[in-house]
Amino acid sequence: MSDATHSFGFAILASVGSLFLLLAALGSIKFPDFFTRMAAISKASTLGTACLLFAPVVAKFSWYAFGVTFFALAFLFLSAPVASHLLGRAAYRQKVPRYRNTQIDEWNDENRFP
Amino acid sequence: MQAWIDFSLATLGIALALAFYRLLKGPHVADRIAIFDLLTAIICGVCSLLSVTTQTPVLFDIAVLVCLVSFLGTATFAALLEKRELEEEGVEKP
Repeated sequence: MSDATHSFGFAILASVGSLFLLLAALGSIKFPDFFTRMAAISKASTLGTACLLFAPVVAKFSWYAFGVTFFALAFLFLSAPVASHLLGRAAYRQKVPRYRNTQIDEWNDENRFP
Repeated sequence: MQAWIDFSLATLGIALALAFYRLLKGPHVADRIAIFDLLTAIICGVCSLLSVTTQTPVLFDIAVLVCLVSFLGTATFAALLEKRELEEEGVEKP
């Protein structure tokens, strides 16, 4: 492939990734509640990090960088939901205040963990 | 290509400013831990972009390592938060 397509792919990946991180930060500002903020941050920042890590690999390709990035992203996509789940469970046990229009609480006092 | 890198770095700077606002304001410790996750993601992206600009491949390895280590930080802070006593009095422990 020519150099133009490489820089085109790099531009797409870098701008999309940074815009996703900006969306995550914007969600952390605008959402009213800890749990909604954490949903915005964990999902959008995972996708933004994935795009931004793949951008240099697309710009200047080498199999070493591709392999390193591939396995790092596999670990990231496995570990980011686990981390946000741990944080959400700890916050629920700490009784972090919720948004007043929260409708469903499936882990309330009646069927709490033993 | 340099223009796109500048655009992305500016966007990441705005994201960093917003995240620091929530980090300073955040009403609970859990908010700050979630923002810590976002901050490591932004730092990872900045390192990855700077490795292209300055032609230093070591920065890209640093970005990958920060991406890997951020899970440990968030998990450790979550475990600390879970072990902490409940703040308000009168709330019975589970």
